[in-house]
Amino acid sequence: MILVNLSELLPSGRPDELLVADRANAPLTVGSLRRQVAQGVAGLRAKGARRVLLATEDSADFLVMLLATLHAGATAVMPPNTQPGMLAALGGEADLLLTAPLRGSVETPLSVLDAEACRMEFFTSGSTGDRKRLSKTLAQLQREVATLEALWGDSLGQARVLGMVSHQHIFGLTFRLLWPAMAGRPFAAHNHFAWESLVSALHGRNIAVVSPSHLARMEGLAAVPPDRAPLAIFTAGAPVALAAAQQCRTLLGVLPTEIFGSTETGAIAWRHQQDASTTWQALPGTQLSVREGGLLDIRSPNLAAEEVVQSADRVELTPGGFRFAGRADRIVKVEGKRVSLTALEADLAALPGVAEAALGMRGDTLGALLILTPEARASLVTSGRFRFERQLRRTMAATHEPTALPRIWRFLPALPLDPMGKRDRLALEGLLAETAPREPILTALRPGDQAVELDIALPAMLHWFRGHFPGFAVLPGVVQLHWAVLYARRHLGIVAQVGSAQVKFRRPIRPDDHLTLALIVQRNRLNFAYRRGSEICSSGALALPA
Amino acid sequence: MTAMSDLEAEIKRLIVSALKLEDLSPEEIGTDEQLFGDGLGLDSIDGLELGIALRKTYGLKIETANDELRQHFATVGALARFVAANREVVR
Repeated sequence: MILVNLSELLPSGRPDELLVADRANAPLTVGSLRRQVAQGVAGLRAKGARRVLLATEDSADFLVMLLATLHAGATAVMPPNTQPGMLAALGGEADLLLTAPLRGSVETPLSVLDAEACRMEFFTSGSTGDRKRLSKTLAQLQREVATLEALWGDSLGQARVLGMVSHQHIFGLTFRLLWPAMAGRPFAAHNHFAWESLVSALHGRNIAVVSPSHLARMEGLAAVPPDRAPLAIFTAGAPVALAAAQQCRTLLGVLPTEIFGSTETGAIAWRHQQDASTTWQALPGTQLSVREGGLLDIRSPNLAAEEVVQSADRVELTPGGFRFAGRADRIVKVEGKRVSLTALEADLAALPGVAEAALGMRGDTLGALLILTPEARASLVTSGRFRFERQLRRTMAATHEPTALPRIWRFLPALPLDPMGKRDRLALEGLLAETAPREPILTALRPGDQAVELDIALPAMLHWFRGHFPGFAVLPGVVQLHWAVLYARRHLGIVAQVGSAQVKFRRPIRPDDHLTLALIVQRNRLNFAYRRGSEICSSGALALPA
Repeated sequence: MTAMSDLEAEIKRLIVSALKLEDLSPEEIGTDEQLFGDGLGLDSIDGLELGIALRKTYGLKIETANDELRQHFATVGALARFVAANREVVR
């Protein structure tokens, strides 16, 4: 079948009975698409809508809504997900929220669209942390689809498209909806819930569109018989691990076609990961170059003419393509979703009950370190840590991609600071790595003459609070001595001996306490004192070797 | 304890260990509590991880329609009935 631009699809000669979208109760044909869009245009014109926020989980409905918006001459505003909080947050961006096609008895005749004048707006996280609005024309997306079809169309024939990624994201929109609709390939209106159901729907002439998160989690699946294997599996968002790509070939019979790109640029490169030396190949028409700092610059027919996108991707150019070497800013990929750590930290810190927030990675997993207000700490105790965390995630999921939210949570009395008073990244990652650290959080260090003072905070997760004592955790005296020895060695370069201690314990030291530890060398002794504000918790002296 | 309540307890332990839920003990999960969304609050990534754990632990080799699968994954109780009916006798 010949590729037809979306701008010409409805007035084109495509037969009415051709299937556009598979849907259990109501399959969408070209004919029903024509009628529903014609009704939608009439409805939107009657409402006078100029900017329409489009949000639904049903991809067939979505195509109707998108085409009606464009045929009505309005701008399509695309929320990255359909969470109520996200729709509320973007409410000011549009004059109408559409969650289902508008029906009616009036049908507006449809003519060919001017694709250069049809505007769609997307949102993504910018490097400064603000939500960034990106405007695209339908013409840009159509050029991208034409490139994809030229490269792979012949091998895909009339295969059916199914998947597990949302069309609210540009990758899902392009690969699950626009490309199939333009190429006359039917797509599934609903995403699959899990591999087991997607696999059950494979019948041999399929194209699967999935996320790297899905490809990383295929273990234990039964191999699909060769006659049911899909023709292609497309994925985008983050590089797929070599082992996951190979496992995909073993189980589903094909290597995933990985797409490199972003909301700004659309697809710019691709690879079939044969082995560790496979590089990303530029798509036809895309020109890549490297600017200062090894960062990738992109020119592409999918971009506005003369436009150069300066990415923050560090790359090494290779013949026809490049090797990807990570990001150069505080943007990370979590489950294939772009996350601005700066923005997410600010949003976490703005939550009720949160006083301060920091983020870090433990391997591929995002972790949050929070300082809670006293009221929130009380509710943490009441609801239990896990449910409290998931409550925070639910609140955040209203405005963020749910799967790209932190999975590790630490509730701390303070964030670790380095000697310059800046957040100590290494110490933060250490706190994410451990469930029961053995050292307190260091927030200030004041060196003196043969002396040093440290401000420390004691998180409740500290190893030494476990089971000592049940119901009333206190810091054991022996740990207080060990810390005095440890910090004297680290910051004063002296080796004191625990065995020779003279100590007075005055007040118990408890979880979440903020303390100052003073260490002073006096002749052959190390004097130490733990203070909480102006009160002394414990003090003593340790002998130094002669 | 019946065989079914043993299996339910086992699945609760599996959820905590497979999803690496550091701050939850298996006993805190209700047998009839919704696992996803407003109940326990698991998300789609947790669902994928749980899928792996169930395939590995019980040798589940099943292909199931979308809506049915959702119901089987709704609660620990539903999962236990699903596993009991579909597990491979390999353990």
